Amino acid sequence: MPTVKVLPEDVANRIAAGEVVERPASVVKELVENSIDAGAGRIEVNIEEGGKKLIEVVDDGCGMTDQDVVVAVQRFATSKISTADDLQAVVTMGFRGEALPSIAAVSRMRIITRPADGDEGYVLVVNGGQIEDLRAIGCPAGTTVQVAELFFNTPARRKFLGTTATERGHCQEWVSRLALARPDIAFKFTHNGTVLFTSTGSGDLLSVLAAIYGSTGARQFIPISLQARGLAISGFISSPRLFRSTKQHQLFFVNRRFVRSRMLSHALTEAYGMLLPAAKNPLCAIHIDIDPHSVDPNVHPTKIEVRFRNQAEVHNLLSRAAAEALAAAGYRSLGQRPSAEAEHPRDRLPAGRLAPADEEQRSRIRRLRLGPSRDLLDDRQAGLEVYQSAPLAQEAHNQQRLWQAAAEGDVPVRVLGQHADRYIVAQLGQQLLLIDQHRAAERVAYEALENADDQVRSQLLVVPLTLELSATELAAAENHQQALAKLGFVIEPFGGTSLLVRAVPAVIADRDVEQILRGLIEEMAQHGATQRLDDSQLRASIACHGALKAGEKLSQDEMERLVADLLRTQAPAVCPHGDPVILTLGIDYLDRRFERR
Amino acid sequence: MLSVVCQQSDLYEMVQIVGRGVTGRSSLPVLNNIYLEAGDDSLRLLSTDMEYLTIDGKIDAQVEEEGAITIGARILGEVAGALGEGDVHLETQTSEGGQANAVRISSGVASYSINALPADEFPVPPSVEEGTALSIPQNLLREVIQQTVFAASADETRPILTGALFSIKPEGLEVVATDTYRLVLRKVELETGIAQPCQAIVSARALNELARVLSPVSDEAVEVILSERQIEFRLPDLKLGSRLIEGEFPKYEKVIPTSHEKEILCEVSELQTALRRVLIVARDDANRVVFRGKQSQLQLSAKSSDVGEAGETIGAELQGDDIEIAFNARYILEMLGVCPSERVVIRLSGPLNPGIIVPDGRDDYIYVVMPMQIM
Repeated sequence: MPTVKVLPEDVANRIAAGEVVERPASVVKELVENSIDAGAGRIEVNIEEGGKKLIEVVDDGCGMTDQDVVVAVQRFATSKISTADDLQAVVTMGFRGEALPSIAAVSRMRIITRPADGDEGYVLVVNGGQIEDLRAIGCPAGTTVQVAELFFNTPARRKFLGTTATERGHCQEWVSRLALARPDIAFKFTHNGTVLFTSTGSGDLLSVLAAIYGSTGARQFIPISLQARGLAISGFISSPRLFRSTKQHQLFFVNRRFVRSRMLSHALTEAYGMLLPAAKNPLCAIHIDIDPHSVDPNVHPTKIEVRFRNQAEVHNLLSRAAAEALAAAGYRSLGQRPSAEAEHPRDRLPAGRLAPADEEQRSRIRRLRLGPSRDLLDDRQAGLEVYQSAPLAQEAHNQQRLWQAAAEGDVPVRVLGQHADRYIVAQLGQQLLLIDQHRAAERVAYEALENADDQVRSQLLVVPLTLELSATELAAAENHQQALAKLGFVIEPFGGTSLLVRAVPAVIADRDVEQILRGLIEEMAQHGATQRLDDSQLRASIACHGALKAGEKLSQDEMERLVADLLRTQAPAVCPHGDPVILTLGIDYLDRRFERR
Repeated sequence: MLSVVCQQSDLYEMVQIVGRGVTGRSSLPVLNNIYLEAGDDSLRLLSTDMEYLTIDGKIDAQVEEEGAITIGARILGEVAGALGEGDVHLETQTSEGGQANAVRISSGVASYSINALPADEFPVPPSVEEGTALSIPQNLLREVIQQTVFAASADETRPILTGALFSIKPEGLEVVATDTYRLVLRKVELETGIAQPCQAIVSARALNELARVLSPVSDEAVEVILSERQIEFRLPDLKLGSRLIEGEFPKYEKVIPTSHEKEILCEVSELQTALRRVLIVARDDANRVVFRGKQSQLQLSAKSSDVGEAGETIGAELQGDDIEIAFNARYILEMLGVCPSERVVIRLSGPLNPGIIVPDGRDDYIYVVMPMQIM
């Protein structure tokens, strides 16, 4: 029994652990990848208390001999790479030989393993990187790795772990990703003995999507497929009716490995163009199979970043494949979403590159930005009153009084019409008002929620609303249950990744409550489940998600109602995010511009 | 080439009806047109949005030459309305290339030549041929629609709730609509039995258009043909078709409470007037009106920190303990507006349990409305 104590290596392992092992989810990822490399057909992941107490990965792969298993927990011991040539063509999941020793260094680990052709299995016990026991044992073929008390010897790291719900969410997120990466492997994920996720291993990607997003969600996906220039794209992208505020749900797999890539996200989003609302992102599960020599995955130990030898070509091919998939499903983008880039195509930068240092370009960009604000400055001198967050005291005071008088009906407000489905044109005394309808509605909704601060009105539902969420989102929602209740959302977990909504804030009952709640939960998930959003942030968020959008045609009645409501608010001129709502053109200004004076 | 003579009043009336099927927002320009087809001693007028509404009507006409063409719905409506009573002659005109590109409309001394698009550009949807068939008197169908569709959702992001469920069972037809805050169920007995129970979600927009053309007094039958993907309502000279909304409607049987602890019986008109008055203040508090049942009175009150308070008491017959519960007054008023009786029974259990409103003495109409809660 080898009991050699190698102190320097032990230290090295603990340091290396920081790079690879951040939290229970990273352990899950590393162990499952090892199982995949071992040729497993079934992989079971069982965790307890979010993985903080126990993580167990059971596979039916090739298993290890007693010599193998000892080597496996030693650093840079890897059976996968022997020559520099091999490194060029890395096709297995884990290749740095770091994972197992790194995890062993910061936990109490047991490995139970038997090679398929061996008569005997072995159990290896490692505590904080020290091998404490190795003996023969009867066990099924394959490997079981148990990782207990992660970070027991690095209390500082342990302290930074999230709540059980958060860590469980992250673990489940990784199991889902790996199941999508390998639909041909059957996965099972349990938490404290409850099964939260299973995939059949049938090889059908859509059935894995259904296991993650529910069958209703999965129905919103459309297939994508393209083969060109040594590259094969396959998988599913969301129809324009399904979208999220974040890019969390854009899952790309290069040669069956989950990767993050701004370039790939950009290529996908570009294909949707105007099909999606502004600032919303499509979902996807896309496999890209490419000659291993054309990718360099060895960018970071966690192997999430990816770099293609020919970034631009991959970008174009993915964008084309997505556009074709959308078109085949009957969605044709009418054009790019208007953005500074689209309006000035010459200024457009190649994807994935930093801005050029070209001085002429820079000054052009500067000129573009400076242009309009300089105009405003001139106009201000000419008498145009533009609301600013810190306005000139007297002028602002007078304006505030005028709005108050209008709100009380002392000075009539006349709504003249709507411009470009975006701005309400109104007349107040001698002033012409241009009102941004989205921001106005946002301000009104925000104050409606604020006034109800101590007593929020909540409308109960006859038919509860069911939301299918990702594991992280569900965890965030559960953690914020109280905060959501204070806003009027009564929610409860409904098994799996479903959330049941029993009541919604009465003030937004007529709006798209599902999108509003989803937006809130996504924001919560993004901020991390541990960080609380304060009430006013949540209110601003609801107000924004719930407010009517620019581009909605309004009737005269709707406009009059909105303007009246807006003027009754505390600060009609600024939206909760601090952006201007009303632009006023005084009669003096108009006279001067028409050269009447 | 189409050439046909019809009566101005017939033409105008039908353009008014068929024109309702044109949204004016279609990305396909030809869908802003009405399709005209002459043949079989009649002129057929048809509009479609290719989605939830197709209106297909016909009027008597003398056909001089058979043919078809499409013409802008709005302009055709204005022209037909402006002409005097009497014969109207419609005739396609062709360009030098032989392409039909205008319609000449003349009556008496008036004459127009209106730009048109060829008929082959117009996607005429196929008529529903097979399916479950029902026959309902016009006035009854109209009443059923009016009593239900108001509770459907306007939220386009949940398409299923923007329609009403038609559930055909051996014991009769059930029409259900809900926007998740309230749910309405109307039962209709059918004279003829149904072999195969079936369900369909029908667009509220299509139903509203149908209700407009149905007579409130005539009991002439409307044929309802239900196929897997479409529903069609047939009157002698008019067919209204709609693509069904796909998806699963909420299980409505489960949410209708079968028991209650208290009952309030009151006059519909009295409750309506009182609610409208209290709503002036309630509007500022998400339409929240508190219902307080006490002895033989129903007190209604609203409060808003911005505006002030409002209160009113009406006479009522009460059964069970005193109760206090808050509702969105708009939901109650909408039901009272279509209530088929002079008195209603409000059945309640607790302040967080659903309220049920039924017309006094009838068991074929049930309205379930959820209360408001203070968090």
